[in-house]
Amino acid sequence: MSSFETFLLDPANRAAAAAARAVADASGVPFAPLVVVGPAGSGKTELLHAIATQVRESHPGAPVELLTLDALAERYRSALLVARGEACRAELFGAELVLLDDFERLARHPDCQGFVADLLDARRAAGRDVVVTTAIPVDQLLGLDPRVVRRLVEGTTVTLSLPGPEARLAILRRRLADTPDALPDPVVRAVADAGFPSMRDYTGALARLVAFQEASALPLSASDAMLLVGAPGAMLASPVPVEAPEADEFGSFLSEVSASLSEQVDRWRRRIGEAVLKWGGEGLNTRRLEALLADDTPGDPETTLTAFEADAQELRVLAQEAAELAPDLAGAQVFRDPDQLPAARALVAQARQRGSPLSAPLSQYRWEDLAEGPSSRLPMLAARDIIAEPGRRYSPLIVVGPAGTGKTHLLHGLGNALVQRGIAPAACLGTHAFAAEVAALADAEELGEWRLHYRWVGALLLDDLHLLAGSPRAQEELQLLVGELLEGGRQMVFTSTVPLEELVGFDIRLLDRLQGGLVVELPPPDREVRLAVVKRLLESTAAAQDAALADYLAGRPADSVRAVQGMVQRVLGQALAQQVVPSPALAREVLEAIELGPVRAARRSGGARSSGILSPGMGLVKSPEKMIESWPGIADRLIAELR
Amino acid sequence: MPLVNFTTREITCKLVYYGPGRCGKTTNLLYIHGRVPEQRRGNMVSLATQSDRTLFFDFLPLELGMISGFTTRFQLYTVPGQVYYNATRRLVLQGADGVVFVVDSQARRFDDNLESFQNLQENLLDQGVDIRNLPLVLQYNKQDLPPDLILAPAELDDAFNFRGVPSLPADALHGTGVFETLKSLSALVLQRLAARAPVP
Repeated sequence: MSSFETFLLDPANRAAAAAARAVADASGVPFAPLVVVGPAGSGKTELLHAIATQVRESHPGAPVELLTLDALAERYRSALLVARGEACRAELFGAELVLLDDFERLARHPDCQGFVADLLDARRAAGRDVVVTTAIPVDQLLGLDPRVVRRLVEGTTVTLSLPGPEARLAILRRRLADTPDALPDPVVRAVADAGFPSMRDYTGALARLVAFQEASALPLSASDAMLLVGAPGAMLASPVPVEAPEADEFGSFLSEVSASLSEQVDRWRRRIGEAVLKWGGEGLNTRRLEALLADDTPGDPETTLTAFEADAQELRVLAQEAAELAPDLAGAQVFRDPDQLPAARALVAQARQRGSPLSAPLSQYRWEDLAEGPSSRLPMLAARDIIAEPGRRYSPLIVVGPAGTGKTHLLHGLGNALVQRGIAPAACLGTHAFAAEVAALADAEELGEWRLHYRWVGALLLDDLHLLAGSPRAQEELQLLVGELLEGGRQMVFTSTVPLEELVGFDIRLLDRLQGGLVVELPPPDREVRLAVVKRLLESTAAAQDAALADYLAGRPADSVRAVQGMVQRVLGQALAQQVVPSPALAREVLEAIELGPVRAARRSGGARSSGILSPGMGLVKSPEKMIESWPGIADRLIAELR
Repeated sequence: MPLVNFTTREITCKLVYYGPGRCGKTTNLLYIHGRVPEQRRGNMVSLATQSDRTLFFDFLPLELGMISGFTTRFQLYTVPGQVYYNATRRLVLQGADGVVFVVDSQARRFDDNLESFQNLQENLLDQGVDIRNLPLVLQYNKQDLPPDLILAPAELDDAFNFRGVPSLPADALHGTGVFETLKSLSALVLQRLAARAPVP
């Protein structure tokens, strides 16, 4: 376990250790960044691990990113490949702490320098710390983006020196903490005083001697140990004449084999350590690999490592698929833990069910096209609230109104607006289709899949609820579904031509659940609504600007939006047939001819008589002021006036 | 043969001494056998003819004990050098983790060395092994003979060591270079432990 104590033993390194501890304790102003400069083997990586260990202990669960520059570059490139560049940036920008080892290697990754500069900028702006280590002093770093260099210069630089004899002895003893009797203490002391150029040489020599001692029956002497590890000046320092190598050629051979082998085993550990850094840096749980490192005699590191890599790759693919199928699943913890691969697979299987096609809202019913008037104000207001806060305000919303008042348009328009807002999938269908789906379910397995299919919808919008009367199975499924969606905070909208209290043949439990929602009435369209509908329908015609025509058509009595649409279509159709521009006069001719029927038509065709004022012909009438109405009798006129 | 078995925690290395007849392969093994403590060595199996020529092969197992948690064994083999024992040579070469090619430094044996070296490459290729991918050490034996009878290591390097593998002068009869050769090959073989399955 890495700690600051080792560094504190060495006076030359106390400043670096104190700065590192300040970062770990999050005490004081952020260094932004803290730059640790020191030669290879001086303990820079150890210091980063000490910081990470302390932060993880004091803030369990807080994301701490400890990466070599190579690992960072690989992670960023991998993220870009799977279109997760932004997510990668967010993870690193928002981490509790970012620790970057071997920073000098950034020069080898020119494509990542902009990202690293952004990272340093963003964390500095957010008051969050970054600690970087480099073997090359900042002013001698070559090939770096000037922004990066500037940030490093603006940070705080501390230096680490090679540990002194006391610190070395402490480090070596810590290495032997689990097997304190592996080597005699004089040998450990002799190694600590050996005068190697790097701390890694000391730990390597220690490993060789441990291996040799394991294979040798006799305890090692300090002088022999120095000879075995090739310590500088070992021959001179050795007070005891050493046996000529020829005398024990096999022993010498065994020593070298032991050293080679322990170095290879250590290499395994390094590989696993690198894998822990790499995958941990990508946010994966590396418990399985860490267990290998903790074990003195790991089972089969190669197989474990290969299996871990395979699991991690599969998780990456699964997470990507889940993100595409159901964005809310993308950040699930199971996708970051290779030990939970089966759970991740199951989650993606669910997401696949969710992702299979549902009946979506019809695109021709656009939310923007919905006309609003005093009569429809309440349902429109409720719908707007739903779009603003789906599943929170009014769920379920039940829209009740006679046929043709625009319930279906409101339902699909609302569904489309929800989809645009990111509520996906939105299942929008008629109750006939719903009941047919339920009726087609052959067995329990299909039923289970069907339920799963709907359980994950973002919103359920069901048209013509009243038509479910007499379909007990569909009602039962709907009742279950409503319950689940309510628990999940999903939005539901239903339409019905029959008020809930008047519905017959319905499961009382379903009605109970529905009555818990908001019931709004959508009455026949008022004049304002009719005018909006007419204007929309005339929008793309030559009469788009004819306010009189729109006014006339909106003033015509109509008990449904559908009737208004029919009226406008008839006028437009006639104008097209006559190859004239739609006008109020034409509208009157078309609509009132229909109302008055064949009598009026016959009189007109027979050179009509009127009240005495001759009509100049409908084609010449351009304005209401100039329009002369004709009527066959007083009763007809009265009727027309009343309308 | 698996080089390293993490499950049983065993490492077994098969090292083969190859070379022309009478170049000193068996002498290498005999010298090693003589220097290994009794508890570390198995019986050396040597099937030789009346005239001390290896008929089949020599086999010397070495128990190196527990190293870094692994029970480590080295198995040293020689092949019969005579041309007509090629089938035996191929058999012994199977699963070799490393090869010492023993060169007879005598100038008059140059062609024999060359023929044997080519034979080694052919036999390895037959087994799908590229000699460039196999740990190989060249031992220039009999360097103790009068200089006018032998080729110097540099000359032999020019002829045999075009791939730059480790090469060592030796006098197997007296032990010079024997363990150095074994150490050199062992190091190469053990280096492959970590390189065996690189992490992608």
